Order: sequence, then structure tokens, then C-alpha cells
Amino acid sequence: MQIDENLKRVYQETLEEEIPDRFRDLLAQLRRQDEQGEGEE
Amino acid sequence: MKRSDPREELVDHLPALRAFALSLTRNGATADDMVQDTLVKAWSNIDKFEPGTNLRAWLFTILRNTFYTSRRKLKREVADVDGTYTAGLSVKPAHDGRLQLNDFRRAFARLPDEQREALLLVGALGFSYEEAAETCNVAVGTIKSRANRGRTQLADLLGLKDNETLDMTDGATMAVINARHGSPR
Repeated sequence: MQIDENLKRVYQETLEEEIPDRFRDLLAQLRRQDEQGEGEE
Repeated sequence: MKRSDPREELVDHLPALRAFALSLTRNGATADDMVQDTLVKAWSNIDKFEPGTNLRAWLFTILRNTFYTSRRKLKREVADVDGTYTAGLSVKPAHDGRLQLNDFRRAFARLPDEQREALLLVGALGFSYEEAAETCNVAVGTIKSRANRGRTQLADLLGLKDNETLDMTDGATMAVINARHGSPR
């Protein structure tokens, strides 16, 4: 269907883009916080 | 027992989350802020996620709730912004009748939120109707009808209903243009 094809094209760019650093950094930071907060398990 | 930590899978869902956020907010910066909020919420509430259930739907639900909560807070403001935004948009088929991506993008942005999200999930991200229903916390039939209404409205906005409509719309557009600029002989 033409509409679905166009929908995919519109968002393809975002879907294929590299994940911005801010998100990788954020995840790393969250992980560090957990490790410090809880201690080993 | 904690074989796989669902938190390790969050990164896999980031591209789709960003696309979903973008479709909701229609603004790249706002969208990524919302994805960031979603990540933090998901991380700190991961104990509420039932292992073995659908992580993607769970994450999308968080993102969606984040969006609708923040929008409720800004209700009046955003309504105005939306009005201005949509008023500035005009959609008509390209002269050759081919659907242009920018026209499509504008038309899609004009759809009501509920239809836009249903179409995005099902049409662009390949969610099943069941998964989309779970994400939006509504019945499967509701998602189907929102997606269908969205498709119909998009087709209307773009003059795609059928070839006849397309020709008519295009003819009408040309008539207006010709009338305004004087007949180009």
C-alpha cells in the first residue's frame, strides 16, 4: 500500500541512523549508578 | 535466574523509540528528550517489567504516557501551537500526480494523535494490531479503526482516493492557480 510505503520512507532515516551518543552515555551512566548503589550481587 | 537483563536490550529498541517519539512530537529535539525520559523511567522501573512479555510494547507505552502527560500539562499552549502549525500547511498532490514525500510528511503530521500513532506503529514499525493495542492500552478493534481512519484521511488529504479524485483535485488546483495568475494561454 502506498501509504505504508511512504510511512516507512519517512521514518527510515531515523530508524537507520546511528544511535546518538547521548543515549549510549545515558545508559552507561545508569549502569554505573546501579553498580555503585547496590553493590555486587 | 537473572539470565538476561532486559535493561541490556533497551538499546535495541532505541531507533524505533526515536521514530515513535518523532511522530508524536513532530520535533526532533523534543522527541529525543522524550526518549531520554523513557530510558530513565524504564531503567528505574525495570522490576515492573514482566520477563518474557513484550519489552517493545512496554517501552512504547512508557514513551506514550510520557508524551500524553507532558502534553496535558501544556494543553492550551500546545493546542495553539498545533493550530498555527497545521494552518501553515497546505497539501496538494504534486503536479504530475505522484505523491511527494514532503507532502506526505505534512499530511501525516496533520492527522489526529490517535490515528498518527496507530498508523506509525502498524504501518511504519510493523507492529501487529495486537501489539499496537497493547501499547496504546485499547482494544484491537480500536487500533484497527484508528489506522483505517488515518489511512482514509491521509488519502483524502493527498487526493489519493482514486485516480478520478486525484485528477479532479489536480485540475481544481490548476484552475485556482491559473485564475490567480491569469491564464497562461
